[in-house]
Amino acid sequence: MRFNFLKYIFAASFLFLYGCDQQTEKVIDQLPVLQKDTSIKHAKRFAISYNKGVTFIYLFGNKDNFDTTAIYLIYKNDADIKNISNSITVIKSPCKKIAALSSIYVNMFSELGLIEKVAAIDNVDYVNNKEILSRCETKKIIELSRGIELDLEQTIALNPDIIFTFGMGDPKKDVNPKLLQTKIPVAISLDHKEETPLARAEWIKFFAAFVDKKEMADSIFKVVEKNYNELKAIAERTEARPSVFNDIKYSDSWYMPGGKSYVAQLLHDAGTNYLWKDDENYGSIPLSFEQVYAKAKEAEFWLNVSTLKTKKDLLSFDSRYAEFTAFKKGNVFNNTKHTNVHGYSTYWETGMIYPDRILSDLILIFHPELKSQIKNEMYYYEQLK
Amino acid sequence: MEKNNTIKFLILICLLIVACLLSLFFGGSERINLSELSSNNFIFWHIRFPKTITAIIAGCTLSVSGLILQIIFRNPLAGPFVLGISSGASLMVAISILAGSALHLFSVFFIGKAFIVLSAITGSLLITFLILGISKKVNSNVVLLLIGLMLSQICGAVQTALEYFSDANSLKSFVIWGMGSLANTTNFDLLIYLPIALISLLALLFFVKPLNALLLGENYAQNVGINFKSSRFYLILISSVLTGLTTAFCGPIAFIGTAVPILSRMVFKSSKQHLHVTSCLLIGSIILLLSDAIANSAISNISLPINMITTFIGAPLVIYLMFKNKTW
Amino acid sequence: MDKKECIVLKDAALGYKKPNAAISILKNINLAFYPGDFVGVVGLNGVGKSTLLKSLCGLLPVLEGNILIDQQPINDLLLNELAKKIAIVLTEKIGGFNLTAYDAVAAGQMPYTNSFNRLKKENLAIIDLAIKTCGITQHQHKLLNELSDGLFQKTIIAKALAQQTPIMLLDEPSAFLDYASKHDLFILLKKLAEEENKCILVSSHDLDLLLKYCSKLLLISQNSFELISISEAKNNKTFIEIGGGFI
Repeated sequence: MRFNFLKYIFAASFLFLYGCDQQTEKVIDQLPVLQKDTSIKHAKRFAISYNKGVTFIYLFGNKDNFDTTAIYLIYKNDADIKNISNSITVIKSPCKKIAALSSIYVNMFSELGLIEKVAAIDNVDYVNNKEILSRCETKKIIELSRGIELDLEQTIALNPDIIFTFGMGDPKKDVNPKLLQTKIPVAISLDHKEETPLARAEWIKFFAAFVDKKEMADSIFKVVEKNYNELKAIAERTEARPSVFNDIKYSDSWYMPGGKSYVAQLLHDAGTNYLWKDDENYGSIPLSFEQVYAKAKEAEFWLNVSTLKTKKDLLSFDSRYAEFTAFKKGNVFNNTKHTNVHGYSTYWETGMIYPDRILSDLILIFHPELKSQIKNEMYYYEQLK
Repeated sequence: MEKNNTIKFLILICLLIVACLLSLFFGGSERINLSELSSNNFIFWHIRFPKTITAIIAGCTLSVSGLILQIIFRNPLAGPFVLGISSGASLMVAISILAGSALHLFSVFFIGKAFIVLSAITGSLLITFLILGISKKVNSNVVLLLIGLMLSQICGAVQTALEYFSDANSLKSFVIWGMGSLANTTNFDLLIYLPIALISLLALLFFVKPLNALLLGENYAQNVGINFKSSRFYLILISSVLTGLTTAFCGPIAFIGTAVPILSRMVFKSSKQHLHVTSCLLIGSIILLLSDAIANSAISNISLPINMITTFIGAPLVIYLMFKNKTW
Repeated sequence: MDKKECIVLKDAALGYKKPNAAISILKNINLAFYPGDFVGVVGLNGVGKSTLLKSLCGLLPVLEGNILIDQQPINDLLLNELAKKIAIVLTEKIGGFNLTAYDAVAAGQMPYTNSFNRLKKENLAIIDLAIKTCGITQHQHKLLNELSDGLFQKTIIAKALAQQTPIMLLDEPSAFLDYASKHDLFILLKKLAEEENKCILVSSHDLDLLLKYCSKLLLISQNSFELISISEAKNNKTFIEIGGGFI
C-alpha cells in the first residue's frame, strides 16, 4: 500500500515538472493502480479514482487549463494513509457529521438518503424541503451562516467531520485561514463552474464519494441524464424556436445570463431562441434597460423575473416593463411555483440536481403542443398572474 | 460686473443645451437616429427622455437644497449628502417600503409612490433638524461635517440591519434605493416628480431675501427685519422637500448638493443669492447631465454608477475648499 | 421737555429664554431715552450691557415688564417696522459666501426693499452715502473676511447708518479701532445725534471718549441703573467705581 502512494507521489511530481499545461485528468490514467471512475462524463471540474479502501477526488479549479487545485483522500483505515503530502486533504470515511453550507448540498444529501448525517446548513431561509426545515427547528441541523460570513466559533464548536462549501477550487484562497488551521476538512464544490445542466447535476457523484454512496448517486444521475436527453430530443424535433430573454433590472443593471451559461444551455435544449445565445460569457452580463429593450422588445417569452409572482409586482418596479411584447402577451414565467415564506423557490434547491425537471417545465412553457409527450405537470415554473 | 454675469449665464445656458443633447443622444448604449425620432421611438421617449429630465430635476433640486443648507449652517461645505440627509431620506424609504409591503400599500401605484415620496421627505426633515440641533453645540464647520458623515453611516447601518430582517421581495425593492440612479424614473413618475420640484423651487422665490439676510447671521438678519426662525424653518422645509423628493426617485446622489453651490460661488463672485439659485439650477443640471453621459459612454456597453462620477467631481472640490479656506 | 421718549423701559426684566426656564440678567429697569440723546453705556464686564442693547432691538425677549419704542410695546411692532426704527452694531464677526463690505452695508437697506431685495436708485444712493460717511470707499469691494478688524467695524457701522433709523445701538464699536478712528467714530455719532436728532446708545470701555463726546451716561452695576447727564459724571460714585476715577 505504501508503495502505491510513493508511486503516486512520484508520478504527480513527474507530471508537475513536465506537464503543467496538460490536463491533469491524464494523471489518473497514468496510475494504473488507481481506478478512475469513468462514469463521470459531463462534469469537467472533478474526477474520482478508487483503489481498495481509498478514494481520491481531484478538483480542477483553474479557469483555463483544468489543473488540479485540490485533492481529497477518503480512507477507512488509518494504516492506509501514511506519508501523505500536506497538500492532500484527508477525510476519514464515512462522514457522520456533515456541515453542508448551501441548501443545494443539503438537498443532495437528502436525495442520497443521508439527511440525518447533516448537522449544519448555512442559512435556513433558502430552504423549502420540509424534512430539512423540521430538523432545523429541532436543532438537529444548525445554521452556521445567518450573517454575511461563516460563524467560525460555532463551526469549530460543532467540529463536523467535513464542511461542504463553494469556492473557486483552491483551498488556500477559498477557506478561511483560521478554519484551515483547525484541520476540519473543507470540500469545495465547483458545481457552479460547470457549463451544462447535466454536468452540474453530475456533481451528486462528488458529494456521494465522501459518504460512500456511489451506487445511489450513479443511479439517480442515470435517470436524470436519460430523462434530460429524451426531453432534449423531443424539443429538437419542433420547428418553432420562440425568442426569450431573462431576469429584471436591479438599480442600474439588468444582469442577463451569458450565452454560455447554464440558463442559456437549458433554454437552447428546450428549443428556444435565447436572444443572448451568441454571447461568450459563462456568467451574467450587466446590461442597461435600453440595451435589453432594444433587443428583447419583440421577444415572445420572458423568464425568471426575480422572485415576483404577479405582473402588478413587476410593474411596481418599473412601469416600462409593460412595453415588452412578452409582457403584453402574458408570456412571463417565473420559477416561483413553490416558494417558502422568504420568497425562495424550490428551483434553487433541487433544480440543479434535477435539470430534467427544469427542462420539462421549459418545454411545457415554450412548446405547449408537446404537452402529451411530457406527461407531468410543471415542477418549478408558473405563469405570472 | 453685471454684463459679465450676463455673459456667464449665456455660456451656462449653451452648456446646458449641449449637456442635454449629450445625455439624450449619448446617455446609453443604443444609437439614436435623428430620423427615427417619431413619437413611437420607445428607447428615446421612455428611456433617454425621462433619464435626461430626471438628471435636470435632480441636479436642480439637490444643488438648490445644498445652497440652502450651506447658508442655513453658514458652512460652505454643507450639502444633503455630506450631512447625511440623503441617507436619512433613503433609510426612511427603506423603512416605509418594509412597512408598506406589510400593509400592501404598494398595490396601488400612485399611493405607493406618494408614500415613498412622503417618507423620504420626512426622513430628510428629521435629519436636517437633528443636524440643526447639533450645530448649535459645535462651532466648527468640519466637525459638523464629521457628525453628518457619522449620521449617514448610522442610517446606512440601520438600513443594512433592516436588510437582514426583511423578506426577499421587499429587500430587493429597497436595495434599489441604496445606490443612486437616474435611470429608474418613468415618464409617469415625472408627473409626480416634476410638479413637486417646480412648486418647491417656486416657493423659494419668496425666500430669496431671507436667504440673503441669513448670510449675516441670526442677529443681523433679525435686525434688518427678517424673521430668522420662521425663515429658517421654511427654508429647511423647502430644502428637505427637494432632497427627499429626489432621493425618493433616484436614491442618494453623491456630492452634487455640496459641489454645485461651491462652483457657483467660484463662477459668480457675488453674494446675491437669487443669482446663485439661478446658477445652481443651471450648473446642477449641466453637471448631472454630463455625469450621465460620461457614466454611459466612458466604457462601451457598461453603464457606470452615477455616484462614482459625481464623487469624482464633488469630493476633490470639498478637499480643495478645506485647504484654501483657513478660517476654520 | 417737549420731546417724546423714543425708548422707555417699564419694570423690565431682560435676559435669555431657555426651553425650561428664563434666565434674567437685568431686573426692574425703568429708563427713558429721547431723540438726540447720545448715551454712553458703562459698566464692568459681564454686567449686562450687551443684553440690554440686544433686548432693545428685539434680539432678546422681554421677560417681565415692557419696552416701548416710540410709545409702542416692542412686541407689537412688526420686525420690518422695528428694523426701520433701530439699528444695532454688535461685536460678532460675519463673512464668507463672497460677502463684500458693500454687501454688508447694502443689507442695511433691506427693510426698505421689496421681497426680491431689489435695490432702486434711492437705495443705492443711501448705501453710497453710508460708505462714504464711514470712510470705507476704497475698501467697499473687499471680502468681509479679508477686512482688518477696524475696517470690519466701520463696515458694520456703515450698515447701521444705511438702515436710516432714529435709534442706533452700538455694542463696543470702538474696541478694534485705532485711536484716530475712535475719535472719528465718536465725532460722527455725536454729529448724528445732534444734527439728525438720533438717539444713540454706545457701550464702551473708553471712558475718556464717552466723557468727551456723549451727552448722557447710563451706569450699570449690580442691578442698579443710573442715567446721568455727562456733567454729573465726575462726581458720580458709581462712575468712579467703574473706572472713571482714573481719568
